[in-house]
Amino acid sequence: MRWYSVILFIITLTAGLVELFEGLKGETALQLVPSDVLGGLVLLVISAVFFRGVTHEEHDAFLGFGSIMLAIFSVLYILVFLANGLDAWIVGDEWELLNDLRIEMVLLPLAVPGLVLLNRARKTLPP
Amino acid sequence: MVGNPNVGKTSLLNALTGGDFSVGNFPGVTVEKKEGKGLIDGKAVTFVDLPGIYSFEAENLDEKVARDYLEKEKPDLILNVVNALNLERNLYLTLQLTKFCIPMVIALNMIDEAEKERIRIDAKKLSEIIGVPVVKTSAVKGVGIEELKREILRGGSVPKVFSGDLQDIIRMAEKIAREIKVVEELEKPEIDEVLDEVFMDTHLGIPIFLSFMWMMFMFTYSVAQPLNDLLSFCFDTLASYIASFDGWFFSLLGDGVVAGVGSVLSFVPNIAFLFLFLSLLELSGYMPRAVFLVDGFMFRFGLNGRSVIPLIMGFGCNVPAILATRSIEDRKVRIATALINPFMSCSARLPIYVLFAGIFFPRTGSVVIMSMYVIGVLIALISALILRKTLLKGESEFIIELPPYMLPNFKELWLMTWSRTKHFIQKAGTVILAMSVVVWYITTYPGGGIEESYAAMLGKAIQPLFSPMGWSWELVLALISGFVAKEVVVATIGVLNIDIPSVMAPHQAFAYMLFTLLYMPCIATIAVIRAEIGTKWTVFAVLFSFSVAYAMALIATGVGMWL
Repeated sequence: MRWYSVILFIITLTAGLVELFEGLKGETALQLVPSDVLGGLVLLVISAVFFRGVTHEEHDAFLGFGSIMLAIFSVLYILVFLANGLDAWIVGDEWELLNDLRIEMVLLPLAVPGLVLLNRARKTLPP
Repeated sequence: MVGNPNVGKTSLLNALTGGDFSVGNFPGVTVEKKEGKGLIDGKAVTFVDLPGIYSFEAENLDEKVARDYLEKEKPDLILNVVNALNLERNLYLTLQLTKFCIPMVIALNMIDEAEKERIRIDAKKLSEIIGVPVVKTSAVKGVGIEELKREILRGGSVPKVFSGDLQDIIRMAEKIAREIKVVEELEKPEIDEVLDEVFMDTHLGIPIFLSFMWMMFMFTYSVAQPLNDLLSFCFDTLASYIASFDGWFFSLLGDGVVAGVGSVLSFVPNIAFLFLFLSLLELSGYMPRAVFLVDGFMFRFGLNGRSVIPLIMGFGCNVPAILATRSIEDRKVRIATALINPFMSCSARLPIYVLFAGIFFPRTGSVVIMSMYVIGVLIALISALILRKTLLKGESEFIIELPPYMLPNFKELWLMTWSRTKHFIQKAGTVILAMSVVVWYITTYPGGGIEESYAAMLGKAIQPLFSPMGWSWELVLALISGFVAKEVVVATIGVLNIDIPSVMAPHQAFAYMLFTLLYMPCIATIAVIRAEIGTKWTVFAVLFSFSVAYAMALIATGVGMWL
């Protein structure tokens, strides 16, 4: 599964760099990749976790944990997306749905293989 | 209930009382006390959960509180909760407990975890050695709870006393642990060790931790925002409706009480989400590891690893951030962290920065705004260093145990979150109510609009103090109104219709932003500081933050004029 870690590393690194540089410039160039310095940095951390796992002997742990982080952030951005919609309805503002979509939400399915691997390796975590 | 931290005392309390417990403070101190009532065979039993401690050396407040409670209250029974996964450390406290000569029962908790780790413990032998009943339990899974209840009703027995100095007790604990514990060889590496390879990695550990902090920040503010807005809308609507009736009483009730108290209660979703996330981190076993990772850096400023989470939370709101200092065991470090927390620029200050940066620094606005955050962090750390070398002198030491990783139990998560949120509502609401009435009065009377109010008189009276910065009385009044909530500064500027560019130069605006950054954020912050560290330190905090804010604003004005 090291090849899969490499793929995830490339995807998260690319998305993270684009978000970071767009954030520093203060403008959004791509629809799904917003200008967000901190969000970009987090993606870079996730990409670093995948990268570290490529050469580490505990490769599965890094793939699994990187997938956990990716999944958690994906779910979080989905919640923020829904919260923005709800907030717009409460406050009476117009909600620009497309502006709130971001790439982290779309990457959620890619985290599944790593989560499955971690679940198989689970030994002492209680249900 | 006595035991080390993270042994499952709260889970056991929950299992024994059916969730019927409340959270408060021990008298006179800001140490959390959980007390619950349970019915065992028709008999009412009161459980008092003492703070988690490692010994009775009384080097920190928790140990002192626990010792004093046992000596003065003399409970009918000590329920010593022992973590079956770490016998040596836990038995050290157990042996010290025998000196109180109070009937005791030992709950050997997390027995399911121990069995998964192939650890078998001879409970009968332990019972013979200590001279008290020993029950194997798993609070999370409900194992052994009925047997434990039966032993509690039987009243336990007075233990054999183990005396000696520190080293003797440690040796005895180790000897007993060796006699009663058998560990089988594991075939595969522990998942805890594997996860620690990632979480505690030399290069990735801290970035991963900061990523989780960012996630907590977003969860607490962005995801909770609709609920916050909904509550604000409800309270604003109610306040306006009540105030629409004639008479001072309705004005007081609407514009004073409902508006003021409502502004604090609208924080509840944020508080609840914060405590939910913190509880998740604690119960999962990650929190102690995060604290360990950043301890080295924080130590240079006289703080420890536990300080970093409240400080980061201060970027969102200082109110829950100061509440989060409760997790810091060392009293002086806790006080220092609470005192410097207001320097972390909360989100309520952002509208002020945006307003002034937009007018005076249109091209470099984002840099100017970011400089506020950076200056706040620097002032906070320098203040901590000074405080820890003067008024709060002492070594910053703490013991931390890395518990096993766990998937948190939903019920426990809910109970922990609710008990802490309820405590916030009760504690912060009292001072807010009083101050809201005061602020309403001075902005309403003697009448003729806000420009003729006592608040305006106050602004004009205080303005000479700020004349070195060249701020008008209206801007000073806005600062005073900012005591209720920082967002009110921008609202007051709007109400007074101040033409900012005509009354300020860029360097004066920068100084104004600095002052807003550094002086006390709001009444709610003052209220929680008082709740957490007492009135004396609250007065100090207000004066200290004002002094720092004034000095920095003066320096910025001087440098600006010179440039």
